[in-house]
This record gives sequence, structure tokens and C-alpha cells, in this order.
Amino acid sequence: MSEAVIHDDHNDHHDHKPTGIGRWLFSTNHKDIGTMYLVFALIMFFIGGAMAMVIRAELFQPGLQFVDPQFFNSMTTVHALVMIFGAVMPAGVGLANWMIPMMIGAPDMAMPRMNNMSFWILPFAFTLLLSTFFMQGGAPAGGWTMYPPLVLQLGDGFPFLIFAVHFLGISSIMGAINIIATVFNMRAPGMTFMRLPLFVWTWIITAFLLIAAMPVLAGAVTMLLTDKFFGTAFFDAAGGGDPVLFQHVFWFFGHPEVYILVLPSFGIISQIIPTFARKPLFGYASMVYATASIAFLSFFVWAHHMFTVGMPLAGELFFMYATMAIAVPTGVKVFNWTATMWKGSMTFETPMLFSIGVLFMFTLGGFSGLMMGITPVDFQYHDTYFIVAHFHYVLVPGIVFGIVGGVYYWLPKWTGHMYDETLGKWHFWTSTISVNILFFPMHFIGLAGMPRRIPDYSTQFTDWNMIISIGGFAFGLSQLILVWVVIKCIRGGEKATDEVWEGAHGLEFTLSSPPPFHSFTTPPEVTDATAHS
Amino acid sequence: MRDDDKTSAEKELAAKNMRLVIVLGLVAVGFYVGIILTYM
Repeated sequence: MSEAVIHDDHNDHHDHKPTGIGRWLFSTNHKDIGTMYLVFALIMFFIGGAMAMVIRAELFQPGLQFVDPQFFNSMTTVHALVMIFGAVMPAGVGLANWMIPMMIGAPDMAMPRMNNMSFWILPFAFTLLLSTFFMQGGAPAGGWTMYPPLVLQLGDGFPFLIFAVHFLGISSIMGAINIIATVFNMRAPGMTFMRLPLFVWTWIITAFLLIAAMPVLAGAVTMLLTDKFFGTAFFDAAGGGDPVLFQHVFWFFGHPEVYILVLPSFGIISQIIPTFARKPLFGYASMVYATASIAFLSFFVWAHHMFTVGMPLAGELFFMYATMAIAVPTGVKVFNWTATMWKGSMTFETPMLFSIGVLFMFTLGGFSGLMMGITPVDFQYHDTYFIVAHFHYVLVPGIVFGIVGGVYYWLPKWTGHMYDETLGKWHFWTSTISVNILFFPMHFIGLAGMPRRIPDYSTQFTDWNMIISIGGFAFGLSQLILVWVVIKCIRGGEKATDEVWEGAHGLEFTLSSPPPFHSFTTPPEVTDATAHS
Repeated sequence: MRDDDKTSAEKELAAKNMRLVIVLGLVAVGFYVGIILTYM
């Protein structure tokens, strides 16, 4: 915990906001950088979403309608890369930037300049990635997993893909290190680890996952690069290498990556549910240990993504049981959120609706995950739309809904105005109905055998694909409501109180709404009464 | 803020932050180099 660092009067000039473009380009302020992350994530969400619309338009009926198969494959590949690395991860980092210093009573992030650099690497990396659409050979089309030897067939865009992934990794690792340094060294006096808000806890654990997992991805794509250009044969069977090795290394990163995406969402709803249930979070300590257990176990389950490559029975059994084991701490969390609501004095404002949406629909995605964790039946599901249904239930209503719930929860604190509750509820219900029309039928067509990543399909899948596409367009349009709500809230509205929500607790709600440009220049004293737990 | 303006507590905190950042950065670089060397 930091010793109290009190800024004297001579620092008053820091409370004056910089103006113009320089405020954003050279910002070292955690709130401004958080805002830039969130705006960037929203833009990428719509770019990735536009690619999803192309996919759903093409799949509206069988046969080839709008795009050629190569471009379709580029759409599925880049949609995934943009949504994972451009939308969900930056949105989580944006929320962390905005909220963590305010939640722990710190004046800013530990390394403000590194924070600026972490952000500005992102637009550069995505310019590299998206520029591949205009190159000989087109954009990456071998899937976001970049499996060799297919990915090595990519044309001029290949090194751009690899360097984009490297830059994204560097940005994430710098962000993660900054978060760890902030929480470890900058906490206000009295803010012990077991008094930290759950959102902060989930982010510490996510940050450690990032430091452990992202270098593995970087190493894997570096080996791809040297295989392509420098004559190595890490993954080339003809040179003594093994293409399946790439899958092992990739998924050693890839499964912790799932938790890198989902844990911050868990943290957000752990803040929201107690507020609107007007009860303290049930089982705080067990939530912390469950989150840490999930993170730890995530490094021992990677091969459940690749049961069909042919591995020894002992390996299949190990990875099956390890996968089942993750359900235990996850079940603890679902139980605790439910128990927090039990006999609570509940109201259902938009953030709470989105949190309950996460609770129900993430659990649904988790259950289908358990199904495919069972080795023998995974052979039926592998590479079908059942998998697409599963990971989209986890990623969209499980993670995106959590992030959106967090935005609604903290938007009045950020802007000083209450958002339009009616529009918020419209956003929730249109999103919830459309997301289920979009993803639920994918279970049916997946079980019936429709393969993923193809632009054409057998006519027996036509009806469900039409319904799925209609759900997809409706979900895309629903997200415009969010943009309108945010713009309207920034421009004005009912004045938000400092506490914002009746049941809200925590240091961030002791600051004014909107908070001063530099929060907590004098560290607050944290006691059991003021701490979340 | 210029370095001259910092109090000793702020300087100490900045050094502590920098040490932690360097250690975690080296861990990340170690994983990156390690995974490649493992399969060399």
C-alpha cells in the first residue's frame, strides 16, 4: 500500500484540463485515456459488427450472394480479431483506466506515460491489420487462430497480420503491468487487498493472465514469421516441425484469453448486482478465490479446443476433467451473484438488467461449454455452428452485456448526467431478444451438422439461417440505441448525484459527478465502513 | 510535474512503481523468449 502522497498547493495547476487535440494525443490522465479506450472500442465494435453483417447477409440463404468465398473467410477472420483485440479487450482496459484509480483512492495510474503509449499503439496496430484488405492476397482468411500451414498461404498481408498481433500484445502487456503497479503501490491507506472492490480484483487477476498468456501468442506468431521468411520449420512437417504444435501453443494462450475477456465482465456485475439488490456481495472472499482458481485452471485446459487432432487417451481424459473442474469456481460465482439478489430490495435499472442478462446467458454459454468439454461428444460438435453458438453466448451476452452494463452503471458518474432510462431499457430488451434469435438457433443447426466458416450451406439449414440473420441485423441496429444514449447523456440530462445510485458504495461514489480532472489528490482513509466488502 | 517539484514520498513511490514495472516486463519478455527457445 502506498504511503500517503499528498499533493500540495503548488500542484494546483494540474487541475486545469489541457485543451485541444493535445489533451488527447499526449494525455497522461487516466480518465481521458479511459475515454479514448472506450471510444476506440466502440468504433471497433461497429467495424467488427459491420463484418458480421456481411457474414449474415451472405448466409441469409444458401448459395453465393454478395461476396466471394475468400472475402467471406476474411470477414470471419478479421471480425474475430477486431472484436477480441479491438473491441472487448480495449473496452475492459478503458473501464479499468477510468475506475481503478477512483476505486482504490489513487490520483492516477502508476505509469501515466506508459498508459498513453499503451493506448496509442492500438490504432497503429489496427491500421496495420485493416490495411491488409487493400493488399495483394487480401486480408487474413485462415481464421483468427492463424493455424499453419493455411495462414502461411496469406499474401502480402501476412507480415502485417503478425506485426499487428505483436503490437496488440505489447499494448496489452503494458496496460496489464500498469494496472498491477497501480493496485499494488497506489492504494489509499486502509485499502487492504481484501477490501478491494471485486472489479479491481478481477482486473489484477486478468492482468497477471495477460502477462503470462500474451507473450506465448507473441512467441507463436514470431515462429510463424520465421517459418515463412527465415527458413525455420517450427510448424513445417517437411522440415521436421509439427503444425499441431502451433495449435498447442496457440491455445495455451487462447484459453486464458477467454478469461482475460470474461473476468472484467464478472467484476463489473459484481459491482452492479449488490448496488441494485441493496445488499453486500454474498461471499466476497469466495469470489476472490473463485476468480483466482478460474485463472489458474485456465492454463491446464487448452487442449479441449483440439480434441479431434488425435491425442493419447490419457491426454483427452486429463483435459476433459480439468475443463469440468473450471465449472466449480464458476458455479461458486453464479451462486454468489444469485445469493446476493436473494431477499434483496431489488430494482431493475438498465445496469441491473444487463447484469441479470449476463447471469442467465453466460451460464447458458457455460453449459454448452461443459457439453463440448466432454471429449467423445466434442467429436460431433467440433467445427460446427454449435461451437459458434457457444462462444458467442459467452462473448456477447456474457461479456459485451457486462461491459455495456458497466457503461450504464458508471456513465452518470463520468458525465454528471443521468442517462435516459427508457432508452436504456429499450436497448436492453431489443438486444436481449435479438441476441437470442441470433445465437440460440445456431445450436440446432450446429447439432444438425452445419460447419462453421463456410459461405454456402445445404438447403436444409435455410430457415434457421434466415432467422439467425434477422436476429443479427436486429442486434446490430439495437446497438445504435447505446450510441444515442451515450451522446444524449454527455450533452445533458438530469443532474447525477455523487452517489448516483441509492445502493452504491465505494470510493468512486464519494467523488463528485463528474469527478475532478485529478481524483484523490489527497488519499482518502479507507475503513470497513467505506470499503466495498 | 518537474522532478524538482516532487516530494521524497512521491520520488520513492515513482521508484517503487518503476521497479515493479521492470520486473513484470522482464517476466513477460522471459516468457516470450522462453517459448521460442523451448521449440528451437
